[in-house]
Amino acid sequence: MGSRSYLLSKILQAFLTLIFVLFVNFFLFRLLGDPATQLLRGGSGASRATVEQLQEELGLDLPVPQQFLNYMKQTAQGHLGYSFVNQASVSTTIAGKVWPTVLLVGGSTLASIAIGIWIGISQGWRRGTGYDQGLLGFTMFTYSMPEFWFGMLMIMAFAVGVGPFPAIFPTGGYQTLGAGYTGLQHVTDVLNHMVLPFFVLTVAYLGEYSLIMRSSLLETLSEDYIQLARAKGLRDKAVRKRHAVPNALLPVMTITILSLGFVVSGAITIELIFNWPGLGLLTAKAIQDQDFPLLQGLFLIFSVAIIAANLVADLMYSYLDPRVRAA
Amino acid sequence: MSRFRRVLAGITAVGMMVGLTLAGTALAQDATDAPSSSASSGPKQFLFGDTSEPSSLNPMVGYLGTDYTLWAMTYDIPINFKTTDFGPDLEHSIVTGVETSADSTAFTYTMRDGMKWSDGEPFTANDVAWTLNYYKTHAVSNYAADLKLVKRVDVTDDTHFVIHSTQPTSVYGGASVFLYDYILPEHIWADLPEKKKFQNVPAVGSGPYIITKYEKGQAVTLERNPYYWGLDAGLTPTFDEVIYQSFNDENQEAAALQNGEIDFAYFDSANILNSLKSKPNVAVHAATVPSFDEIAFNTGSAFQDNPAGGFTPHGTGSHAAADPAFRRAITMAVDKQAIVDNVLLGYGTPANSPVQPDATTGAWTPGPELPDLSFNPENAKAALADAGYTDTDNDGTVNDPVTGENVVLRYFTRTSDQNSIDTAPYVQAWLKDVGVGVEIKPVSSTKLTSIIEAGDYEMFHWGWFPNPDPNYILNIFTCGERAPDPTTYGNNDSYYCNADYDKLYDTTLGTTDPTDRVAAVQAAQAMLYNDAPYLMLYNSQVLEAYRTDRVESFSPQPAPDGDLLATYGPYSFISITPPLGATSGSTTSGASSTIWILIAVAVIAVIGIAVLLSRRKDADEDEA
Repeated sequence: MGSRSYLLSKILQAFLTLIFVLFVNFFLFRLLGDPATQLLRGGSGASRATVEQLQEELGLDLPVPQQFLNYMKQTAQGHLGYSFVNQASVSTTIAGKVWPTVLLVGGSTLASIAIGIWIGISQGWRRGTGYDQGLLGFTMFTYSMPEFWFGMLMIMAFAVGVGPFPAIFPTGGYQTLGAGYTGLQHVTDVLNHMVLPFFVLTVAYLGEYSLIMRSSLLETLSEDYIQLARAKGLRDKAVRKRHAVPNALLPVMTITILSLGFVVSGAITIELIFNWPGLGLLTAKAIQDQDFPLLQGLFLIFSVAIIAANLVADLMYSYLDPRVRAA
Repeated sequence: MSRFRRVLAGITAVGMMVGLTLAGTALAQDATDAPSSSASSGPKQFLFGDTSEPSSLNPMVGYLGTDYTLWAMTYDIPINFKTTDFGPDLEHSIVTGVETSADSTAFTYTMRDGMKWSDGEPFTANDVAWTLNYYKTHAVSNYAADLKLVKRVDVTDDTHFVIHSTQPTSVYGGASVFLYDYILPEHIWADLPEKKKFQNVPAVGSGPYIITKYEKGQAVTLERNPYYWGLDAGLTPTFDEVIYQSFNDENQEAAALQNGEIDFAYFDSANILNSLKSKPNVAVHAATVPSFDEIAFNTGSAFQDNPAGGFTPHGTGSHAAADPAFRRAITMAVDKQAIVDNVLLGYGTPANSPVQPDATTGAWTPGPELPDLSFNPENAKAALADAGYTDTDNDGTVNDPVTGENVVLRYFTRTSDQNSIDTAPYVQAWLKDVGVGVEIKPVSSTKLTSIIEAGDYEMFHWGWFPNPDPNYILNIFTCGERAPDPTTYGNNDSYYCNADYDKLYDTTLGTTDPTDRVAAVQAAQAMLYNDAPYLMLYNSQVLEAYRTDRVESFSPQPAPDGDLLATYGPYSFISITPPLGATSGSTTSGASSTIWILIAVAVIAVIGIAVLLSRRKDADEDEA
């Protein structure tokens, strides 16, 4: 299959997946009952007349196919509905949380990827040594530990200050309330607040990438072309840099790009512990409040991010590995 | 030097230059903004926290205690409560006097002259009349009970308004604080097309502080109102700003208090409060407030008839829960003191009535004419047997005399309230001891509201924080407050409907003598005790902690053991002051801008130099 047709087929696949998601998104929340009744704070605080008025306002009295077409049109225009719980449009409610989420979760994901891959490479190259075993134990421990527990320990140690640990960071939040910082001071104030949750998320997830990188590198090192490279007289560093790591990175690339797609869904437990205003916490509160329009909007945003990441992963993989295009 | 090394060296050098320039800028900025030790800079701020997000800052929509705390600072009710008790305080209210007509159906209120809203517009009797008439004609649920007997409100001039009642009454005569209704500025609200969708931020109000900013999930900021009428009445707040911070987790909230990020905090967890007792500069307090928790029964949403019209029987509640004799027996099976000791860790007292001991009508205890419903499992078993609930099939669970089936009750708890979750296993065990089965079902508060409206329950655990005047809480037990159908809300969450009780409630409103009103209220309490639509559990205390180095001079209400801060008015927020020499803000300095930039410069330098040295070594090896 040529490059162009491969690209087109992947884009078409992504588009069809998106249509399917929109379809499911529309009907899923209608399975829960009358949307108008559900919208009004889970069915409370409203008379039948108010519910009927809302049904008319939202077009819920139209035939279902017409409602679906209206939904598709409005979604295409960026109108994701109105959140009665937050008393604001869904788009506005979500938009306000995107940057803090991308900053914290995106930044820590990139850090986890970079550090995790570096650890995995250094482990795989020194397989079987004490260094490898030590790091293996460390990364498995950090990957399996509950991150909210680790977060609470970090708060106790470096925000409250316990024993020899100094209290040097805030306990949580996005910025110092009431300080009114602007410009550079605002930037560093946010950074101050981000240190602990960033550190916790980075440590909690670097194990995922290091373990996959290590495993992939070990598999690559057993390939014949690696033996050939050595037989040709190339030094270890050259074998690693030019042959082993580029090939071992291929499966890791897919995981990392998909991980970046999950960034927008936030990190609920860390956001909760550190009071970080992200999309993970927003989703949890929307579920608790039965805020169905907001849940519908969030579900759509998360799905679009994953579909986009999947598409990028497919395209990048085919660029890096010509065998995929030729298949 | 190879091309790569030249480029990398260039990037490292540029990075360090930019960083150092920024560091210099930041150093200059930090020096300019650094507070001097001799003079305070920036507004004086008071920060308090809780794990409760406001439901709405719109007084026509919100319903949580947090909402009321914020409104209490921004708006006025006609007559405020005294700080020492819940009596009327005409000296510190927007109303200075009330005259009752001879037939007790017209009440003329005199207001202070020259008051202004926070935007400088005049605050007059027109605003009061517009607000109360709007609440009445649109049946705004927060205030409907107070305005039940109001026919209309007229204005005679800028400082006088007249409340006309539908029948003779004493409740609007000013002898007690009955109208717990926030007065809104007509010039802001009257022309709003959809008032319930109005966010109300920034607000225009008449209180000492005005809501100016709201970051949902983070904080509400209030700033001092320069036009506050109280400034002329000796009510001068010290702090320039009050910030309410909402937390998701009480452990983090406690950490923030210890860290100095907030000055005052509310807690639900007695364990967390106890853990703060030994912390430096932190004082804890358990406040006695008029709140209670109960287990509410479904007294028959599926079976009740429709005496007043507008009610459709609905739901799947059992016959047993609808039987008052059964409910009295269950009450005898529950050890309230054990719940106070084990769940609340002693921060509370067992409760007997939804009208609190410190309500404006005074304390009440069950008289000898009423059955003894104190904890006694043997009496409970005997009462069940007398009512026909016996274990006819010998499987350990009593059988319903109407249906013959085992009596198993659905018991809903709320996932957001740890006390309700912790109480449930005790109740389940005690009821099992007397032969009644219980299925515990934890759900969210929103979900439980839907279940109550649908009538699909036998019991649930919830609580109320009623007004000091008993009218609001007594009103919810009237037939008209039931959810009329499965999809509509009703305050009467036990579906209690008793025509005699409704008449008694009307009497509490219709007496013209306050003393007669007290007697009617107590008779209503006795009827509720006997019919037991609620199994009253406990009056819990409000748990609070504060930084002794940041704030003092609270005005607890009622004095001396009431809530230190969120009282039924703004007084505490007015009276609190920082101790001499106190500083505001976090006690941790955090890394300043300069340090952050220097750290970044160091990282760039280290990485750049390390890579350069590494590549130089590689090049040497390759050339070897």
